[in-house]
Amino acid sequence: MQKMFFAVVITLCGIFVSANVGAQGSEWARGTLWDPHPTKMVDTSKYKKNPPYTIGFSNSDLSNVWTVFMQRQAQAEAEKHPNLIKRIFVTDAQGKSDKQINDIEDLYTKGMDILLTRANTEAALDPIITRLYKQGLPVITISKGVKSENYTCFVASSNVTMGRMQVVWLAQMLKGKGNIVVLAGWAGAGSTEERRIGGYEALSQYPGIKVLDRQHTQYSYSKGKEIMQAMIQSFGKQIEGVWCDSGIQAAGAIEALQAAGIKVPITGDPTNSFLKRVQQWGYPGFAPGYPVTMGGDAVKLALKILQGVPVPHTFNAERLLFATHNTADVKTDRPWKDAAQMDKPDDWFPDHTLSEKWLPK
Amino acid sequence: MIGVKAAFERHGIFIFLGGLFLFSSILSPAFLTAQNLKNILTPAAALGMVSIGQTFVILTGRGGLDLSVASVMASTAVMIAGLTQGKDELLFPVICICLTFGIFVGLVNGALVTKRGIQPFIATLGIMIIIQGLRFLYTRGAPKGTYPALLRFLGTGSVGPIPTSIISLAVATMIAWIVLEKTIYGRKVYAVGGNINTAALSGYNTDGILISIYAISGFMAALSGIFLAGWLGVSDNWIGKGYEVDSIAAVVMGGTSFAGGRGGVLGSMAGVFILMIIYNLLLLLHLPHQAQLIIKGAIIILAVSFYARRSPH
Repeated sequence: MQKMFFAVVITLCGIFVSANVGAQGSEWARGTLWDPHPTKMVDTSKYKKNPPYTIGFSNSDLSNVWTVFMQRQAQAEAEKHPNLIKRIFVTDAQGKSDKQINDIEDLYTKGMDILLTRANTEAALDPIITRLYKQGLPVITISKGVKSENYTCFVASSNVTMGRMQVVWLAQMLKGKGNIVVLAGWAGAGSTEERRIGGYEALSQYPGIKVLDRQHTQYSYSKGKEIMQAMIQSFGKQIEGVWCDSGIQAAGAIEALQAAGIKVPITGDPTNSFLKRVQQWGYPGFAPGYPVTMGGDAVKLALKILQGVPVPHTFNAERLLFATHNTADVKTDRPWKDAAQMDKPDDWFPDHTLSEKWLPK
Repeated sequence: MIGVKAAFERHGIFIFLGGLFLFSSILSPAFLTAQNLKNILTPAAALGMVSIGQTFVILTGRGGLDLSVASVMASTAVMIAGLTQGKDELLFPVICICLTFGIFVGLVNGALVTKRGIQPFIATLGIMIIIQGLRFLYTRGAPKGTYPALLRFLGTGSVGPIPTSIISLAVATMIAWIVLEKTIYGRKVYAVGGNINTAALSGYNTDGILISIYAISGFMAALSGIFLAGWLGVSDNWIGKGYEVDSIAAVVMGGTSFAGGRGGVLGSMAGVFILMIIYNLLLLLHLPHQAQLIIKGAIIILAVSFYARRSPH
């Protein structure tokens, strides 16, 4: 009887994990917990006020799935605190800085107690955010900050760490020796550049790893496939590993690799299109997350600020790692087969913590 | 002598294409291999199809062009994934829905240009933005569903050694060529592009012809989106991004003049292959992205100036 009870519990846990593989229940992100520097804590006592609160959330755009999930994480978290949060106003700037400035002005006029924002560009949004911050409004920036330090808290996930981990996993999979190709994102974009810096730092420790070619894919599926095809034409079976800095071009690249019958370790991120293809075709793969849960983190931090509890000036969000194979330094947090949600669309992030109600439909 | 010069003007683009092909074969040993040519040709089908529609529109002259094509392509791609949910048996009806959608968009473009007299640039730009908004409304940022296996075959499969997508492009090009060169309708298209007033005085229903041309462009864009989705295999909100500009470049490189009434689909196909070869060659030469953009832009200008008709004034 007891055995059966445990079996049922384990099965239920399995179902729960496979439906939702996010970092539920974790209070401290490893990035914060392991940070060797003293955290610069911000005194928020001047922002303390009585609930209920009104939160303003100005999103830069909803043009890709990542920001959709991130925004929903924020809305879902706000819903969990009906006694504390009266309203959360959400605006979508459609990728336009001038619209986002107007959105924030509107939110301010409506009377928000705190501003959450993912800035369209660091430079363009800096003046308005600086002005409101100096007028006494607490501001949390998410994923993309502003140029100045004029905000209360920055909810971040380091791109440098991401690039570093991708290369460490790949190099360790190859036992420190082999030829790789690099498919980077946007030429000149901040995230691409930071992932490159972290990755090349790690690469300098592996003199046996040779980069055959490095190309930019503009985070495009089709460019990822076309570029990988051309690299296969040039180098063929010499390619022993593929470093993609995101899952988008990785999904395109793996289509080309599979067609050419080249099965080598490949990195990306937990975009379902990449996770599914690695699972389906049995590639060695690694996907360090860029957490969509940052939206929910921002709301939790907002509540702390408005209750006068100190918060870190930079909050490093928890990042989940998914790997088909563990290496000496990179271990998976969840089995790959639970992360790859075969019945879900390609554009999907399984590392969310959303309930069914909040999932994009 | 005049014969040579005329031949050069008429066939300059094909000479340029041949030269580029030869040059590429010498420059990169990886270029002239069966697999690489297949890599170039397979995605060329999508750019080729959208360029056929674009050729018709640019032929009408007076600033005629269609900026909404890429938006139609992406919408087609997300509709196929969303409506078929990966089921082969639903593919045919959903393709029909997508093509009808393309035609409808074209009809609206055409109506705006003719009935309201809006510049094609602005009309198709506005429609492009509206479709993008509708697409985001439909997908809410997260495209749903997956592609049927049959669609993957259209995009990546082969009949014997020849990719299905290339067979389809060849058929589409042939039909477009016959329509433009051998039918009364084709003659009307050239007449409207050459001089719309003369065409009107000749008793042609110029508005009707223009609207039908934009409908053809919408139809070809939807068809192109279907093939690109099949080739790529990933349902994405941004499939076809940049194809509006690339298709215009291919058509104009191919000798179809913005002035209207001059050019044709065969030149456009040469333009398409030039663009595809340049991109492939620059990748095979391992040039960085920045250099690729500079060289691509330079070659587009070079190709047009190489054989451009010297205007009399």
